[in-house]
Amino acid sequence: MSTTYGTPVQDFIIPEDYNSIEESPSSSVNWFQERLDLSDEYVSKVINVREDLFSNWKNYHSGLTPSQIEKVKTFSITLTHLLSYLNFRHDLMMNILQNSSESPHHELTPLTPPWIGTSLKSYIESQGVSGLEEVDRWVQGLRWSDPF
Amino acid sequence: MPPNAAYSTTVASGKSFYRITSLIFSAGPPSTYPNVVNGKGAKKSRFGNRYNHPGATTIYLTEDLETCFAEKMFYFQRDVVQGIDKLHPLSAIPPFQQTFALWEIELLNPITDVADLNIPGATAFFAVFPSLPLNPSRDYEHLKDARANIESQGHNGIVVGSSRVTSPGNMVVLFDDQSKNLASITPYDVEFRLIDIHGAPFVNHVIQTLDFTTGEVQFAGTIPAGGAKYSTWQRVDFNH
Repeated sequence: MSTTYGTPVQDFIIPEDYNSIEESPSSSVNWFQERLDLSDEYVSKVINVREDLFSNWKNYHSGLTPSQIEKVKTFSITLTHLLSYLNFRHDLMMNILQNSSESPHHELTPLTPPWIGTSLKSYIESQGVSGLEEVDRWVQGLRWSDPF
Repeated sequence: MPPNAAYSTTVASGKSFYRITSLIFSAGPPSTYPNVVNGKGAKKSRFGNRYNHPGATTIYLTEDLETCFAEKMFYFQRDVVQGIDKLHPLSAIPPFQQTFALWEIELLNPITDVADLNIPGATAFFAVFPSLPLNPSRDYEHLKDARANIESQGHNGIVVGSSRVTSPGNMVVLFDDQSKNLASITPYDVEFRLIDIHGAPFVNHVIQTLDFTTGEVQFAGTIPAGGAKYSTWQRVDFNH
């Protein structure tokens, strides 16, 4: 398989695809955590769940409520949409997670990245699931809404 | 209201249709390939797409490779340009050359009662303003509403000219999950790249000027029937 831009396909196979991600997000979360260097502490803070409960759920597939699992799905789906937009380039995804955007010098628009003034990783950590939803709205808006 | 036969067509079984997705859909086992035509992506979209509001199951296909390439080139280029605008400070602009999965799809059973907007009088009958399907630059709420109206009349899809392809070519917009109505579904790796106004590959957005009406495409490995022309980089013109 051609990989002109250097991302071997096996490196971006997310264990569940867009559709089966509905059923169980545990493998996807593990995949993102391993490749994007996101700790259990970080993810549990984002989804507002105790770290030990989150870790147990990943290992034993029990211990989280349905609404908490919905938050995990939001986490996985948002990162999947971002990664897809970046054509599954790991280096670009790390840049977008870690690099801080400049503070706005102008009025914000619907297509201004919602984490402006900080890094995406910090923004999601501070805003939790509502921040994830804002990021997902942003990336889908960038791709599919009418910008004009 | 029953579907109007005078403005309807049948989407044939045993004929090739085409669609392009992210490689993530072809990276899994073949048992997952039918997900490509289950219509969930459109259903779960936040903003809808050209002929669907959010929440409406929809599958977008084309009748030929050229239309499929032109449609995808439009969105590929828009993704990159949006990235240049919004993500340059983060060094996270989407690549100027990307590989996607082109799907060759044959339906098991034909789909009847598909509204054909190419039939003279059809746009008037379905109350579709004829200018709007032709505008490549943006989508319209009117077209999403028109689809809902057409579906409510009992139709199973729409055949409509693509606004992005420069030669005549049709999109086939289906309203129901087709994942269980497949005779075959085969992915092919296909590479897209942008070019500049001099025809050179677009590799540097700081110094090069993008050609907004042309890109290039080639197959990266196996080539579908009728696609031999794309064994090397070929220009794909599209309306912008």
